[in-house]
Amino acid sequence: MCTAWLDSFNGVAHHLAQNIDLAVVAAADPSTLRAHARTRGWDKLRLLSAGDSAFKYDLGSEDREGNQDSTISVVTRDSDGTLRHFYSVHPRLAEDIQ
Amino acid sequence: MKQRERCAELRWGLPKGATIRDYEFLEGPASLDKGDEPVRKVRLSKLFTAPDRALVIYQMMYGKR
Repeated sequence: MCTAWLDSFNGVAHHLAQNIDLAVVAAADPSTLRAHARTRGWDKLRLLSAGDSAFKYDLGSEDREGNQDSTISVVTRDSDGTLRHFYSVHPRLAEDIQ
Repeated sequence: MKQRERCAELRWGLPKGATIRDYEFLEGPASLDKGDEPVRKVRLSKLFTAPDRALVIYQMMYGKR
């Protein structure tokens, strides 16, 4: 599901860029992530590795064991530069989809 | 569609989120055709390209530590 979403975001990246800044964050290191992106043709997405940061854990897309959970996080910036975690959601299939 | 719009409206009415620090990420060259070096550090604050823009991050399930 992740892959289909990112395929889509890549395709409409210029539309999204009119209103938001979009970035993809993965636990994988840069060369691994970029190799995967090449096979998918994700040439219009900003691809970031979480590296040593606790970002994924802090925002709920990773647990202490390193298990991953797809997450969409919205971050805002106040006029004084303060960064805020507005909200995060986890994409899930609707219960009535079999 | 109307329900989604209403949901979006409700979301924007939420209180401001908790402050978070300026996390550091790793990024390769802007073009995928240019190999994977050099890898640069990028701060969360630098992902915003202009004021009054929200930053949406898709945290994909890829790569366990």
